[in-house]
Amino acid sequence: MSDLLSAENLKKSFGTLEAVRAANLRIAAGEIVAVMGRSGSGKTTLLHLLAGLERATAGRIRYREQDLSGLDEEALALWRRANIGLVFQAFHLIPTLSALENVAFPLYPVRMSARERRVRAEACLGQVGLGERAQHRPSRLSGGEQQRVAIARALVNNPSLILADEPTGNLDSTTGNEILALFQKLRAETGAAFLMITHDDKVAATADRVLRMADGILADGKGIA
Amino acid sequence: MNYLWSELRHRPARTLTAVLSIALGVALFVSLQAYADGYRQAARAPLVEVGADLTAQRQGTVPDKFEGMVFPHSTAPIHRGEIDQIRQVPGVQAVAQTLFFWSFEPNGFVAGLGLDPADTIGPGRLRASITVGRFLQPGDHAVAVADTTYAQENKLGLGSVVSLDGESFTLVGLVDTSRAGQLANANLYLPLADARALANAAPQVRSVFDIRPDDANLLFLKTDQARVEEVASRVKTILGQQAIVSSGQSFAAELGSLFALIDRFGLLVGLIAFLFAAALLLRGVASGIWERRRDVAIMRAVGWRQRNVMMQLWSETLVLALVGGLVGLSFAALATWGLSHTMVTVPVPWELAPSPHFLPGGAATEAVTIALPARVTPALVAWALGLSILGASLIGVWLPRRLAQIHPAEVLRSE
Repeated sequence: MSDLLSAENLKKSFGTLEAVRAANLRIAAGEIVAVMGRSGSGKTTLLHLLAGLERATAGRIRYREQDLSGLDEEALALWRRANIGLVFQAFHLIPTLSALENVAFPLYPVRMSARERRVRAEACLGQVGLGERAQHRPSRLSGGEQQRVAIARALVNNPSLILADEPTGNLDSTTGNEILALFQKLRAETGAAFLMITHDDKVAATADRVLRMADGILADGKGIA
Repeated sequence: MNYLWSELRHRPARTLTAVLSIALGVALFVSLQAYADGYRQAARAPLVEVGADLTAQRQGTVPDKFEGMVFPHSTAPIHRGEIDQIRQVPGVQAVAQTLFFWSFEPNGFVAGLGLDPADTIGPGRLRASITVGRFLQPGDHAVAVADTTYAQENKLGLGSVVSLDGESFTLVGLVDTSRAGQLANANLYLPLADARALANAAPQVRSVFDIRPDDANLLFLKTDQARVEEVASRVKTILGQQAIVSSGQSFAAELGSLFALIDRFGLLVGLIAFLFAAALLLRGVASGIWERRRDVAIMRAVGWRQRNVMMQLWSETLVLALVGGLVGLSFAALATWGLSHTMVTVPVPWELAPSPHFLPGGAATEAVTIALPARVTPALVAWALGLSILGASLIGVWLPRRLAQIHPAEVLRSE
């Protein structure tokens, strides 16, 4: 199976602090990969590097053979819009928008009719089971519902890779299990790959593969040393 | 647009503060300009009433005796050659010649004005204020038109005969001068040729002035509006050191220190108010961006380009500025409406007063009282909205620097 995303010898330093010292991984299309590690092991920094939100100090990231190192901020934003969905532990919804508008949020700068945007957002909201709460603002949704809205937002641009940072970290175990089940369902329906950052063994257990990160070092058993 | 309206609607405190800041700035700016402009127009009212932009006189000499016909000492003769030179001044569109005089008759004092009935500016305009009979006509001789108040006080009517310096004049009409202001105010209006003949024969005129048959002593000038002051300067040069040229500015000078303050500093104060409003808007937007750095980070994370983010924030600022501008214009319209109901008294410079100061009541200041013609003009609306848009755009240019300080990953990690 060809790689969807790969990282080689990724490094990221903040001054003298080496947050990521050597990260190597490969993610195949439709695969669910969990990256486990303790707090401060560099997991979130790694996710930000893979999403193009941070610039690597050294190393290379490839997406379908495209080297992302040469892209500037604007090109990376367009790349994310076209290929990546992001899910955060803190949900990060826009408080002034309804659930439906939050889902459609990544499409606002895209040239398309308001109707098409709404239809796509409604479909995604339906996929996560929140069609009935479309007009509710985040403050009127539970934590689990907010995370579902965030997942629907990550799906709305039909990404091939969803990067999720502690997606169940702010949820109780029952709701967390529902979210994980939703990932499996969405993988089956959309064929998207998932990279989950977690420190929870139960979450990691739902992944196809589990990679462990410690002291900024991540080794992928798929062959990249 | 959804996002824009949601942001403005669901952050009412920020929206209201920004809108009111701009509104107050715009209201103060527009109201002050409308007020100052209203006063400037009011100052011109005495001249506008007689269709002129300038009056020209020359100060002369006080006669030896106040007997028979005399010229007020602010109205020395202006000779034909000088009048022809004035007609040639660039920007002069029309010149009306008049001869203003006082006549001390055995039965009382008369202020008289000789005029050319064919003139379309100056006292010729009084033809619209005739209440009884007719106005003077070209070719008239030995007839006069009397001011209605003067006629009532002296029990004169159509057909009455009045005597001036031994010459008889039959009244052919009565005119209400109250609406024509004080610049063309006299008791009796005569054909210019008759007034000239009287003046040339009057000993108290001849004794102090080089009076000639074609002279006038009070000119009304219609000029190109853009060149009023330039023409005034040229006319002063032609008439010499004793020239008295009155324009809207001369009347404005009579309005006192309050108007002078508003006239000089109104624009400055208005602009400062506007800048203050812009600063408040800037502060609101800046703190808004700081409060919304998480939102901006999310925008960037989900694929918004920097220019998309800037356009969103700029649109919000622009809408706030425009709404604030419109609300401010509404406030200004209300304030200006209130101002337009106040009455303004425009004093007439002493040299244009119709009565000698040494007669009973003659020292009273002549004045024109009108409603302040303050209004919000289309130009003011354009200025206010233009400044609002400019302010919003400048803030929009400033935004990228603030945005550049937002690192999505850093913000998302810390939130």
